Amino acid sequence: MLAISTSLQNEWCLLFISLIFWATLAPMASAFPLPNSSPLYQFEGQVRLRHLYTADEQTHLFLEILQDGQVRGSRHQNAFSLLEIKAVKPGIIRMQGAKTSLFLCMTSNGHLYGSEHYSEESCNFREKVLHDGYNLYYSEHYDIPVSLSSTGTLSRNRQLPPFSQFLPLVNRVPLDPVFVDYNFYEQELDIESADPLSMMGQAPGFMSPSYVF
Amino acid sequence: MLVWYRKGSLALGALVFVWIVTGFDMNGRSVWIKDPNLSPVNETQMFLYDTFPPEFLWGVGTSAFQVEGSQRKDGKGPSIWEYFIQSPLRAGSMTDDDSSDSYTFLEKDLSALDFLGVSSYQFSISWPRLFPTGVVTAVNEKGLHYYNRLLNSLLHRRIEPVVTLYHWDLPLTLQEEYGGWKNESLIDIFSDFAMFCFKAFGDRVKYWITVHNPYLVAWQGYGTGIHAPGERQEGAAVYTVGHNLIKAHARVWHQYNKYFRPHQKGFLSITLGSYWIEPNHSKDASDITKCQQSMQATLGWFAKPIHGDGDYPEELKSKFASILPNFTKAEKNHIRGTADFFAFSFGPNNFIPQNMLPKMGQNFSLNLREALKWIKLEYHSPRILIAENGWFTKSSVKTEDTTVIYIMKGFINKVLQAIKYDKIDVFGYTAWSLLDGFEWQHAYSIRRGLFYVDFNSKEKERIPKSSALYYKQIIQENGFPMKESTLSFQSRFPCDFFWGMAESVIKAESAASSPQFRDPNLYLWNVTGDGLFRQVKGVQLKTRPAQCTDFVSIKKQLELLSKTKITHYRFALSWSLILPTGELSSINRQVLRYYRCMVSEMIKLRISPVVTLYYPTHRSLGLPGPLLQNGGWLNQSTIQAFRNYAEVCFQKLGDLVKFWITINEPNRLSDIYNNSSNDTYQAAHNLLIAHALAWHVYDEKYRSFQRGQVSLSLHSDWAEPANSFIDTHRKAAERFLQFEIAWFSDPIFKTGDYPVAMREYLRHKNSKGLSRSALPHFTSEEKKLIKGAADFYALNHFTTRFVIHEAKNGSRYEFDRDVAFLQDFTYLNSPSRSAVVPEGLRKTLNWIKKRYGNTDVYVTASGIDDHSLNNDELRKYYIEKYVQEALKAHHIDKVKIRGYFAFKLTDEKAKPRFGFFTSDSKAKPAVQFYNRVISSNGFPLEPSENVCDSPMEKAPCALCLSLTLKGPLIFFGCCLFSTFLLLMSIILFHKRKRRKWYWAKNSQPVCTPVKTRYKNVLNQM
Repeated sequence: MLAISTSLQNEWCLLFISLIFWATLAPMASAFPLPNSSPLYQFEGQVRLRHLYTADEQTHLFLEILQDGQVRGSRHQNAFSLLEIKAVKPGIIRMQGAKTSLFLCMTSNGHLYGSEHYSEESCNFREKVLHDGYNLYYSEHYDIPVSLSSTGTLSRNRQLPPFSQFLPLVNRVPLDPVFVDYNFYEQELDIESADPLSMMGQAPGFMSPSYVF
Repeated sequence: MLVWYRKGSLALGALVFVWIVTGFDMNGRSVWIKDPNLSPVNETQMFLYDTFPPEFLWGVGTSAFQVEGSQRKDGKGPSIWEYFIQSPLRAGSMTDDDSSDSYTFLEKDLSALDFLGVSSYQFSISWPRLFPTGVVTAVNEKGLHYYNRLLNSLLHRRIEPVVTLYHWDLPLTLQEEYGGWKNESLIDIFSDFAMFCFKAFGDRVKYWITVHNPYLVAWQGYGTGIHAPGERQEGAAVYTVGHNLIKAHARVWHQYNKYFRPHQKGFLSITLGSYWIEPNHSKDASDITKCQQSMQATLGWFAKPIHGDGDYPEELKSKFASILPNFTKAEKNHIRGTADFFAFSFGPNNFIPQNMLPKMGQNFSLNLREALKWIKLEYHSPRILIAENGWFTKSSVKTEDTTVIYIMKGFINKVLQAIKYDKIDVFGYTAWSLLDGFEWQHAYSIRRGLFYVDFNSKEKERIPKSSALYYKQIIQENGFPMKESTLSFQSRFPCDFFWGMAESVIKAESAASSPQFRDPNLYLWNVTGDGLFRQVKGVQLKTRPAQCTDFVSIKKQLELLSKTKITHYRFALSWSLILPTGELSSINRQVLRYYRCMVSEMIKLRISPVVTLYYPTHRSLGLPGPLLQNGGWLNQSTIQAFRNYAEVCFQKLGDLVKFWITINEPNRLSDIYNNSSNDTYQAAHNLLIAHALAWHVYDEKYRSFQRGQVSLSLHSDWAEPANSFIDTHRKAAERFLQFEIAWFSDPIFKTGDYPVAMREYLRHKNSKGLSRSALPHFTSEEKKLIKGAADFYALNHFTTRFVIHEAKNGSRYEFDRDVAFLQDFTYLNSPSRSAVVPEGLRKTLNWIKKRYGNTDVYVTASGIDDHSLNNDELRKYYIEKYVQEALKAHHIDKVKIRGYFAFKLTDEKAKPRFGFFTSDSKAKPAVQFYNRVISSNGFPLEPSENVCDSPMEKAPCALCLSLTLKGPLIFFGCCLFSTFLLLMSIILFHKRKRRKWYWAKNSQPVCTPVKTRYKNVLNQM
C-alpha cells in the first residue's frame, strides 16, 4: 500500500519536474517561425504582386494606376496595372502600383486616385473574399467599394456598382527595363552611317547605376 | 571481351557517322551554329592582347581612279568612270580632277607610307593610262614611267607592292566598242593587258590581283547602275558580266602560271568582297540556311568557281537556272584553283545599297572574324590577305576621325582572334585607304583615307589623321601586346580591409508587420461564409513584447547577408520616412526603431553597418514632402533641415554605427537639377554646405564618445580621352573629371573652394558669350566649414567613360563641360552599355591620391548589371578584375584603399540587374565567388593560407552554429535522456525502499510501531 502511495507521489513529482522543464524550454520553441496560417498569407507571404481583373459581359478590365495619379481600367495587363497588395492588419490591405509606387486611395465620395503618400484613412481597404474567388474591396474608412465603374453612383447602399468584383491575377508582364539593352553584334547595323555601331549615339545624361533605383 | 569489342565498333561506327555528317558536309553553315552556353566572358570572345605573326604584311591601299587625278594629263585615255560622272544623269555634281592627284604628288604618297611604317602597299594600275584605248598597242611611256617610279620607290623602301590590274577604270573605248564586260572579247583584251604588266613590272611584284571586287563591277555597274558604266539591266546581263570576269581572271592566272611564275615567283589572286550576315534567331535552322544562301549568292558567286570546285554554288544555280551562264566541264577545270591565296575585301561598299542585297530578312554584321571563318570552312583553309578593310567618315571630318580608330581597332582585333583562336592563315592586312579620294558613288561626300587631303588646295598636302597615328602604333607594336595594366595580379589586402556590399534605400516598415503576435484579439474567419474576420468578444490573449524579428523585411535582409561573407553592409536611410515633414517634431519613432533593429541585428551577424543618410535617385529625390515642395536643394532651408536630420541619426543610431556617408553621389544630382546650370550649381552648393554642417555636428558633439567616421560618396567614373592623339580630347577628359569629381572633392579635401580649372573654364565660356553659368561663391566661414569636412575619401566607381571634346552652347551644366561620350565596343559591355574597363579604377584611385594626398579611400559602390539570373559570369569577371586593380593600386601605387563595396545586394523588380541576389532572394553564383575572394582576402598566390582568420575566435562559433542548427535534435535527446534518468532514479529509489521495508518486516516483527501504519492508512484515505 505504501509502495503505491510513494510511487504515486513520485509520479506527480515527475510530471511536475517535466512540466517545469518544458516550460523553461518554451521560449526557445517559439523561436521557430510559425507557418502563416492566415488566409491573407496563403500566397508568397504578406506581399502579393497581382493584377486586379474585373469584368462584365462585354468588357474585361485591369485596374491600373497611371503616373499622374489617375486610376482607370486597362484592357490588358501592363506595368501600370501591377499592384503590390500588402496586409496592414487583419482583413485590411493596402495597394501600391509597382511601376509608379503610388498608393491606391479613395476620396470620401468613392473617387479612386493614386497617391504618393499613404494614409490609413483613404488608402486602407477591407478585402472580402467571395465564394467564387472574386474579392470585394471596401474602403475601410468610407465603406465604399472599389469600382472601375464610371457611371454608377458610389455610395454605401446595398447595390454593388459594376466592375467592383476583382480577381487578383498573377503577373505575366515582363517589367519594363529602365535602360535599353544593347548587344553590339546582335544590334541592327546602321550600315549607311559613318558610325555603324552607334558609338557616338550615347545620351549625355548617362545614368549612374546608383541613381536608377 | 566480345561485348566490349562490339561496343567499340559501335562507337567507331558512330564516330564515322559523325565525321560523315560534319566532315563531308563541313561548310560555312557551322559558323552560325553557336554554343548557347558560351560565356560572355569567354576569352575567345573578348578583346585579344597579343601580337601578329612576325612576317605579317601591314599594308595600306589605294586605287588608281580614286587618287591619281590628272585624268587628261600625259596622254591618258578616258575611262568609263570619267564618262559616268560627267553624264547628265549625274548632273555634273562630281569632278574628278579635285582628287588627291597622286600622279603629280607621288613623293607625298611615299612619305605618307614612310610615316605609317607599312610593309606593303596595294595600288592599282590605271589601264587607260598605259593604253588609252585599252588595246595593247604602243604603251603610253609617261604612264609606264610613273608606275616604274612608284615600284622602284617602294622597293627602295622595302615596301612590298601588291598590284591590282583592274580596279574598275575600264578604258572608255572598250565600253563603247564592245559594251564592256558583257562582251566576251574583253577576256582576251584584258589578258593582253595583264601580260604586258607582268612583263613590264613582274620582276618587282610578288603579289598580283587581277580584279578588285568583281561582285561590285557586275552588280553595281550593270545591275543597280550606281557604278560606271551605270547600266540598269536584268539579272542575265549581270551574271554574264560576272561570268566573263571569272573567265578573264582564270585566263590571266594560267598565263602567269605558265609564262611568268617560273622566273618571277609571284602569287596571283582576285580580290573578292562581301558583307557578313547573322541569323535573326541563332537557333532557327531556316534562318541559318538563309544566311548561307545569302553568302553563297554574293561571295560564293565568284569564290566557289575560283577557290572551290570550278562551278557556281548550287544555291545560285537552282535559283537563277534560266539566266546564270553555264561553265563547260573544261572551263570548270580551267577555272578551278586559279588563285594562289584568298584576297578578301570587307568594307562599306559591300553593304550597299541595302535594299537590293540578298539580305533575306537576316541581319548584316561587321564581324570580320566570322566571315574569315566562313571562308576557311568553305574553301579549305586558304591563305588569306585582307585586301581592303575599313570604314568611312563624313566629308566634314578632317583629321579627328575618332570613330575610325575604334572601327579599325575592332576589325584588326577580329583578324588577330581569327589567327590565334581559329587558326586561320591570314598573312596580311590592308587598311583602306591611304588617302582621301574619289569615293565612287559617294564622290567626295565621304572620306576613307588615313591621310586627310584638302581637295581644293593646290599643294594637296597629306595630313595624317588620328587613324593614321593609331595604325602606325599598331604596326609598330605588331598588334596589341599585353600591357602591365591588363595583366592579372596576385596579392591580398590587409586583414582589416572592409569587404562590403552596398544597397540603396531600405524602406522601413512603418509598423511591425507581424500583427499576429501583437494583436491581443482572437478572430474567427469565414464563420458565416462571408470571408470576413470576426472578433471573438471578450477574449483577450496575452501578447509577447515587440521584437526586431517582427519586421519581416529585416529577417529577409539578414537571411541574405548571412549567405555572404562580407564584413560591412552599406545601406541608406529614408529621410522622408524618419522625418515626414522635415521638422524634428515629426520624427517617426517606429521608423527609427526599424532602422535600429536593422543595425543591431546586422551586428549580431558580425556585419558592421555603413549607413548613408541621404540617397537620392531618379525615381525619388528622397526629400521630406514639405522640403521638396519648397524647392528642395535650391532652398537654403533644406541645408539646416539636413543638418538636423543628420543629428537625429547620429544621436539615435550612433552608438551602433561607426561609418556614416552623409550623401550618396551629390555630384550626380546634376541630372535632376538640370533646368539651368545655375540651378545645378546652386543645388550642389547647398549640398556641400549641408554635408559640411552634418560633419561638424558629428565632429563636435558625437565623435568624442561614438568614435565613428563621416564622409560623402562621390560618383567617380574614370574618363579616358576617346582619341588620345588629340589634345582637345585629353583636355576634355581631364575637364570631365574636374566638373564631375573635383567640383565636390576640391572644396572638401583641398581648398574649401571649387576647382580653379572649373571657374576658369566657365569664365572663358562666359567671356565668349557661350554660357552665362557661374559657380556660386563660398563665404570665408563657409570655406572654413567645408575644408576638411570628411574623415575619408569615398567613391562610387562603375565604369570608364570615353570622352570627346564637343563645343556646346547654352547655360546648362552638361553644356558647360563641352564633352560628348563614345562607346568603345571593343571592351566588354554590360546590357546597359556600361564598359568593363578595370584599369579605370586604378587610374581613378591614383588621380585621387595625386590630387588629394594619401588619405584613406573606400570604394563605396562598384558593380555591373548582368542579364543572367542564374549564371552571372559578367559580374564575376567584373568583381575579379576590379578587385585586382584595387590590389594593384594598394600594393604597387601605395594608395591607401581600405575597403571595397560591391553594388548591390538584390535586384530590383525591373532591369538593369545589378544584384548579387535576384529580386526573389535567390543567390546568384557571384555571391559564392565574392565569398571566395573575401575568404582569401583578395587573390593570394597560395589560396590555402589565410593569415587573417584567428582560429580561437572561429572554433567556438562553429560549435555554436552546429548547436543552433541541430537545436531541436539536441533538445529531443535531452528530453529522452532526462526521462531515462528519472525512470532509473525511480526504479533505484523503489528497489532500495522495498529492500528496506522487506528487511524491516523480517528482522523487526515485534517492534513495528502500529501508529505509523495507521498514519499511512489515514494518508491514503
